[in-house]
Amino acid sequence: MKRGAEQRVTETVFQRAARVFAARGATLYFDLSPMHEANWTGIPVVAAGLAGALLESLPGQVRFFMGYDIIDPVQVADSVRRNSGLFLDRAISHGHAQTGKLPVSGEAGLTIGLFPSVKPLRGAFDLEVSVFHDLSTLVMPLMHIRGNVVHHMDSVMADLASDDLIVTVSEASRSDLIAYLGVDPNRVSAVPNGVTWPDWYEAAAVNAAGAGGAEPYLLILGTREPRKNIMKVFDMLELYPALLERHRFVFAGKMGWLEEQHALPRSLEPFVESGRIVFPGFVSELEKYTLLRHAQATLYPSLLEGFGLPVLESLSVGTPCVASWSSSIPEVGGAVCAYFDPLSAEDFARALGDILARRGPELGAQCRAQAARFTWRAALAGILDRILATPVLAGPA
Amino acid sequence: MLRAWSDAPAFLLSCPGPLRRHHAAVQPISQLSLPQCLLGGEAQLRAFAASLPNLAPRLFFMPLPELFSGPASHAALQVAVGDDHKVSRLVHLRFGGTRSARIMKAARNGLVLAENHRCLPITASRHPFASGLVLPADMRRVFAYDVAVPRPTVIGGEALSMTPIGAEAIAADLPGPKPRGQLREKTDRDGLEVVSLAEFRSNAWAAGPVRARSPHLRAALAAAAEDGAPFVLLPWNLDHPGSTVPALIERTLRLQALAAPALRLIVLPFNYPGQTGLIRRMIRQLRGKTEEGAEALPHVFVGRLTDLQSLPDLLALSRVAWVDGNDPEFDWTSRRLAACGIAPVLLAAGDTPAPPGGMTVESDEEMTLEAETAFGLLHFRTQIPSLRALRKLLAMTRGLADQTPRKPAGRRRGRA
Repeated sequence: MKRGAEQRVTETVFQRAARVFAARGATLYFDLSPMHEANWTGIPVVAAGLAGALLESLPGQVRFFMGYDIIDPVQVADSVRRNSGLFLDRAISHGHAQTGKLPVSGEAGLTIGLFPSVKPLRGAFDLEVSVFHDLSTLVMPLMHIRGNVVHHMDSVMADLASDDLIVTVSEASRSDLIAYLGVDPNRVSAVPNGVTWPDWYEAAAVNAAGAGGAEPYLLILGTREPRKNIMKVFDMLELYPALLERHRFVFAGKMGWLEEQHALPRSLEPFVESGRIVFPGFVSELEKYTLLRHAQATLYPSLLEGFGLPVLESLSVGTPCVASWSSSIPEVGGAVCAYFDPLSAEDFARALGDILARRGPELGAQCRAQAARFTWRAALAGILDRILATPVLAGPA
Repeated sequence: MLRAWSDAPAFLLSCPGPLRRHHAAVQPISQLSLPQCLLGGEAQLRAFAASLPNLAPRLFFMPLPELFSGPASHAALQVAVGDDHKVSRLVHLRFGGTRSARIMKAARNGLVLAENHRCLPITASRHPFASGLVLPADMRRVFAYDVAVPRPTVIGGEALSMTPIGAEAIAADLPGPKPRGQLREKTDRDGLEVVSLAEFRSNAWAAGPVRARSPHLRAALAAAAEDGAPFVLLPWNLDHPGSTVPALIERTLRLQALAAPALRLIVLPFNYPGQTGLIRRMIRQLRGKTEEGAEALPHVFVGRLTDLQSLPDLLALSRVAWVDGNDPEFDWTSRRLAACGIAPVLLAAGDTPAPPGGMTVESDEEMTLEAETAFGLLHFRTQIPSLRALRKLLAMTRGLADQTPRKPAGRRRGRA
């Protein structure tokens, strides 16, 4: 479907949702709990993307909540604009953001709860929908800290049981739920995430000091945790050190957990000292955009993803991506990424060579076209479309 | 055994283990290299594969079946196995503990079960796979070494039928007997690694193989030649959070004087997930809890066999093993050790019959273990030999070791 046609379908879904919600006296309650973190990556980004799309598309039919409190949408919009939960969290802790309590069942018409991740409460709404990201805490527990595994696995079955509709961010996650946890395929739908950048980022990135004369570099974006498989980049560099002569390697992302498993091999330490390998740590959204925009390519060797936001972010600015063929990643990258076996440094180098050979305006345009299929408005429309198809809303009023 | 799935163009075998060793997501079984091959899921996989020589060209190893999902990964898989059939015709066989069972989506999945979950957690965690008796929904078959064990169910409740595995699949990978007097030349590629707990270094062990000679083992071998205290192997299933092995080591150390021990323990960790946290925790525990503290650590050893060709080296060190009866793999471990020429002494609760080639000693004291795990906080009601029973066990083990054939101390082939 062409982009314009997709947009029309999306608009139709919003109009239909507004009409049906109004006819049924329905209100959508959106859980903000993933958004209280200061530095957003992964799930908080998804929550903010959906919250922003809701503010834009269904302002009259949505309420935001955290815990048992209704949160002022102005505070939510401010948080989305800032790309951080820092001020939202402060406003809530000072009691400035709360405007009331969640309604008691039956008091406020039909209530629909939409949870962008693990549900902090269950059975609070007439209809409950949760977004399920990945099963990595189940299938790769050694790549997580124990508390994280317990947090997800302790609630997963109860969350799934209390949901009327389950939304996954990819077909890979959907099939994981079916294959591992036996979820009824009819209850679970895949709706991909989106990516949106503020309009002014492009100009800011182009004009960033030093951006035009930056040495060629390859960007590895992601939290430093074992599942991201950054070690495979090191393996490749040990096998093919000449790559470091042609490119700097920039590893941007906050420190995660079990970092010792991603310790830089001693043989590569001199390249850190000489600046050929750079670890800038966590970067702001604008810094991330600028880094993505000017990179020769991005590398994404992750072992398992529910979606693969960094791949989409890379493509959205026209920067090609060399990615692992694992799990959901090819669903995001489509035909424009170069894929490799995430356990093979040799195959990684082959894919990198392939993408660098194809690099150019044409590939950049293909990357942007692939990414344009994924927007937060389309993601929200996909979720609403499934909600509208549930018996409680699809039947006669 | 695999008759129902004999039409499969390829069989993909997987088991838990450290990733760093593998350099491809799929590899022919002939190229398989595992960090430990004597016990646990890794040994079960190797032995199972060796028992099916006719299928060898169709056997592959995949470290992470969970990687595969969708056309791009399936295309890579088909290139690797040299086949253009549908993925749905492939068979994935999973080895290792039930809690670690993984699925290869779209393929036909089976679990090779070596566990007997007699010691289930007595507290329920809400993790869907905490009990050890629940399998992922897409698991279709269970192949079991003992079909009389409790049957696992797939999530949601359906119990799976169990297909028996012949006894040959326990020892099919073991090397044949060496002609008398023809000892293998010792090389740097020797597959027996033994270091003391004092010498144990996590990173070196995880990266492996540990090639440095162990001064503590050399000293222990010299002392053993004088005092006659034998080495006893103690398999430790790292994938079983209710293992009594750490407690058993502590008790054994408390019971005997370091200067004049009745025996010397060599712990053999298996089902080794690539992290050494449990071994480090056990070392901390021994250092903190035993009277001798850090002084005890050079007298307890940790070992592994990375190459079965070095089995004679292990046998030269010890021909007796204690097997924790709480371990769900106690039966397979006992039978495997016996097949290797090592007498298993099963430390069992109740009236468990003696394993072939070994004997059973009653673990007469109840002990509740608490374990913080990825499956939540679990409690296990276990059985362990009391101090009185352990004292008898020490004497009996020493007697047993004296009966087994041993080479003179000067000709032993450990990494001393």
